[in-house]
Amino acid sequence: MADSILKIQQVSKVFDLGRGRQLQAVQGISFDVEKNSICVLLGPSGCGKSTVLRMMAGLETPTSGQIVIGGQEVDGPGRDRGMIFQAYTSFDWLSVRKNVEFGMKINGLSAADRRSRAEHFLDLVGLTKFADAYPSQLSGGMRQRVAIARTLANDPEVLLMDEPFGALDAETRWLMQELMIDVAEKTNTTMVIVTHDLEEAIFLADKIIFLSSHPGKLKEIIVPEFKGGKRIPDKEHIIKLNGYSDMEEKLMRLMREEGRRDE
Amino acid sequence: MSSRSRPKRFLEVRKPVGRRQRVISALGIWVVFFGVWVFATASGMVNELLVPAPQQVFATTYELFFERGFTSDVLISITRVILAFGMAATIAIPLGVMMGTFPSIEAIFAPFVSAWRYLPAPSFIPILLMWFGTGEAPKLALLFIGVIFFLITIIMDHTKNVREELIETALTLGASRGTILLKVVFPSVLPDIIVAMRQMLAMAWTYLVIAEIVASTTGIGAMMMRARRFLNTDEILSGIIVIGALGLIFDLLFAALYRGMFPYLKEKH
Repeated sequence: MADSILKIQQVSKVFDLGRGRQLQAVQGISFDVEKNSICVLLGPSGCGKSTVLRMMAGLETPTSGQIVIGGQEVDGPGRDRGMIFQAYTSFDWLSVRKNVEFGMKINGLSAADRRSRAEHFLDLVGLTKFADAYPSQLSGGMRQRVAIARTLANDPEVLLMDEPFGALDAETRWLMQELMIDVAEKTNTTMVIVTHDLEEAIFLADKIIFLSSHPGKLKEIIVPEFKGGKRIPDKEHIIKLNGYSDMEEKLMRLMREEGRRDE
Repeated sequence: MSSRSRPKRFLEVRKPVGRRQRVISALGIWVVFFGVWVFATASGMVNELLVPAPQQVFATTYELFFERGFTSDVLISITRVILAFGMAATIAIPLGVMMGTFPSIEAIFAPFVSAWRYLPAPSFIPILLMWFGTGEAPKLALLFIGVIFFLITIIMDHTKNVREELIETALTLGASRGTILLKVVFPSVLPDIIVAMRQMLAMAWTYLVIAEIVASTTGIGAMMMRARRFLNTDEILSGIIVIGALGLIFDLLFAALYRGMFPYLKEKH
């Protein structure tokens, strides 16, 4: 395996709910994310997967343990860890092109560099034709493409995605998942994706971190060996592979165990 | 149209009415209003000294503007509103946005601002007159006090409603606090600020008239109080019409400003 770029070491998170009440969201989680890999955080709702992702982004601080990126401990948000949210985050007052240039602009890239990088990433996500439109004129899937292009154009070490396609309809979601495989292959971007969608997890993941709920603990690390170390570019092909249904069944069983424990 | 369509009833729950019906309805209510007014004065039902006929009011309005220099009064009133409202906005916009962005700033100013909000601005008139005499200052001060605390509060509330994801996205793109304030929060809340200003401007006109009626020798309100002394009811009604017209014009200007500033909001409503 390649070098790890992110190390999550014995990370716990306790939320203070006020009046002396506390909520343990995450408990003693450790795992590594390898460079250029796609790592999926999967688990039932309440397993703290979003909290883990937000701690990687620096938007939350671990109560104990540490997160290390490229040898440096994470201390607050930074451009090395770009994040995509489930909710739309386009800046409505800027054109699609200006949205994609936003990160580069605030980080001081020259206008010419911004322009050419924006062209490149708009092309990568298939939005070249809509460069001068406003986000409010676009569909939900296209707005997420804007967010993806904007984050990638800012050249992060890791792309963090929090249920990025959760608000999209099914066929748009497939297209977006296939787009992410394409992007990962073309840009060698390391991705950490949070989802509760089994199919999405199997399709995208080089490695699945399965979390159990209440509090969120590491249950199992699963490598979908049936893909033979490759990424499959479209959904129709992956479901035909030997081992796909076994993998799906295994994840379903894990999900169900967690669900039962909650009742 | 399909043959199955039901006969159209007048009262339909939340079914939009056509353009033609809207125009007829709008004109209709005004025709009735002026009809009753004309009838009441012509038939002698009301004392013409207290309620002059509409045609006379319009004739007087024309005369006031073109023969008796009313224009300068109107310009004085407009200048007062713009000056006082401008000063209030100059303070309220940055302060409201800062309070909505930084809880530490809110903690300082919110308790102060909300207390002032409950004090009716006209209750300051006696003390303002004592402090500033009868010049421009007390009128501007009244308008300023009447508008600024509401404006600050509304802008702060709108700023707090800027979605957290937008701020967090900017943070993970490497934005500093200043960048978040100026490049994310401010442009995001700006349409709401313009709407808030449009609404508060109507309030500014209210305080202007109060100030001019109570203590002024110039301006629209002062003209109306002069007219009262000479029982010129037609001039008083002219004043009311002019104030209404000015309010409408400023409202339309703000609406046009909004459309011009925010073309990206056109697709939504």
